[in-house]
Amino acid sequence: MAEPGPAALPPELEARLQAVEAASVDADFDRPSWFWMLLLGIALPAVLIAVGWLAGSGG
Amino acid sequence: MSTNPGPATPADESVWPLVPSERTWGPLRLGVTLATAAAATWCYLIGESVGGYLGFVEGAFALTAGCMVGMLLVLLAGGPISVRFGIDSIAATKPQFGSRGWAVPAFLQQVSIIGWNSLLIIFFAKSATQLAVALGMVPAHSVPSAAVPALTLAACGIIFVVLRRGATGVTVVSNVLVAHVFVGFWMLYLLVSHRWPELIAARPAAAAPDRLWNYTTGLELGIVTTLSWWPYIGAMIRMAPKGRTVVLPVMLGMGLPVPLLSFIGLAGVLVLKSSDPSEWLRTVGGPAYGIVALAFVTAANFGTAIAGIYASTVGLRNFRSLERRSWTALLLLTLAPVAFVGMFIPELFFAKFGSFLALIGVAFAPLCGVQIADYYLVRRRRINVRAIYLDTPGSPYFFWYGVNPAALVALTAGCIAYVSLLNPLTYESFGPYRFLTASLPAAAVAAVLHVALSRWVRRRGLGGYPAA
Repeated sequence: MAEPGPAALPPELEARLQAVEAASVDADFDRPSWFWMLLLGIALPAVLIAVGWLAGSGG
Repeated sequence: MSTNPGPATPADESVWPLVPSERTWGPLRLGVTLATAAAATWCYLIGESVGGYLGFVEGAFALTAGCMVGMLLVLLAGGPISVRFGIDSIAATKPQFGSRGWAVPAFLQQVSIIGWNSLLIIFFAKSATQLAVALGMVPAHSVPSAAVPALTLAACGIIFVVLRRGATGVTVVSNVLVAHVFVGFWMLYLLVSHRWPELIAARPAAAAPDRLWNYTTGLELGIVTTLSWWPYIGAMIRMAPKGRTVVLPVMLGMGLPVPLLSFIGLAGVLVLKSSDPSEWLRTVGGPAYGIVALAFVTAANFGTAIAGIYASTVGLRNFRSLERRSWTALLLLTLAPVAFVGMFIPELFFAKFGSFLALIGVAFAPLCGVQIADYYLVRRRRINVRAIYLDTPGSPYFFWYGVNPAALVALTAGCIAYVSLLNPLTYESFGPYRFLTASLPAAAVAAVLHVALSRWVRRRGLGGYPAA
């Protein structure tokens, strides 16, 4: 498929896109980010679910 | 081609990508803004809902766990594209839904934000009226019937003035109103410290005989609560320069305050049978505490409404018919339905629209599933940012007539999966809900179906997918 040409876009948008494409935008989240996301979004909830369940059982 | 707000439009008021030099928000500024946006009246309504099924300790753990899981889903769904390219939540849906199919998530965003903010501003007006009575500014027996409509209109006017400054207006207000988050924690401390034995002994009024079902429902309520932040998040995190800057502010600034403040409603409904802190704080600490609580409620709703109206106004820029409108005109367009509802049909809206919003909320779990699957599994993180701003036939995200049927079918299937497991209005459940929740299977169904159908789309050379 042919890539759309830059001429199709308004000049200011084109300038913005070039600036964004020139910046290092390949990475979204780095290793520390993944560590915190997995810790706070998976590990912590898993612990909370287990502790809450046990607390409710009187255990 | 899409979006041309004009050369004079400030970057944070457009849907064009922000360049690195414009993305100046650090973790603290982002965290304060997100915390102020997240903390509102709904926190104690959420706590009240959980308190119907679970006691304080179980409810607190289940709700917190669910909120953190939901927040992670939202961050994984909308976060990567927004933080890489500095674009809002709606623009970030174009690679999945198509250069015109994004209208579906945009509809969800607009209805959700405008609906919820109408409710918040009406709450704001009612709290401000009660505050005026409590301060002796208005006699309790002669509150004018026009007070709530007039205060709603005034709130819309103040929001309009604040948001004339775009994202800067949001942060300026957040820096002041974030204090209410700490007031909320103080209120929770008061209730817990004064009534701990009663709180531990209290039994939920609507608990089902099945303990696992009650616990799963507490978890589910947490998940759907933070999933409802999907419409807000892109407009905020795009102001930060990179992924590392947004993770902790989102998870701790937006994900954590919601359950913590919801404990207010949870504790209130269990001990005093009322989730409204302005009622029970008066009981616990006297009239002065009641006034503090009313001020808290008023400030909380106002901060959230400002963030919501901002995100909604930015989202409107994606519509071609609105792309050349001024920021002022778009703000008025966003505020007009809120003002109309607050002035003319506040009670009707309270009675009926909450159900509609519950149904709309069902869509956010599968929407996250589609986005996560598309970005990480189907596209393997390869996004053509230039193509997001094109909707001509042959452009990568044009698919068929600008719509990707794979994403729409997957979204629909995810919604069906949700309501097949749980009726969001009655909380009647079906099948393996008690083991799985409803949001997580709905997101999984949408993700799996999107991956499968996208293979079919890719074989037809559409979608700009990377080679297999």
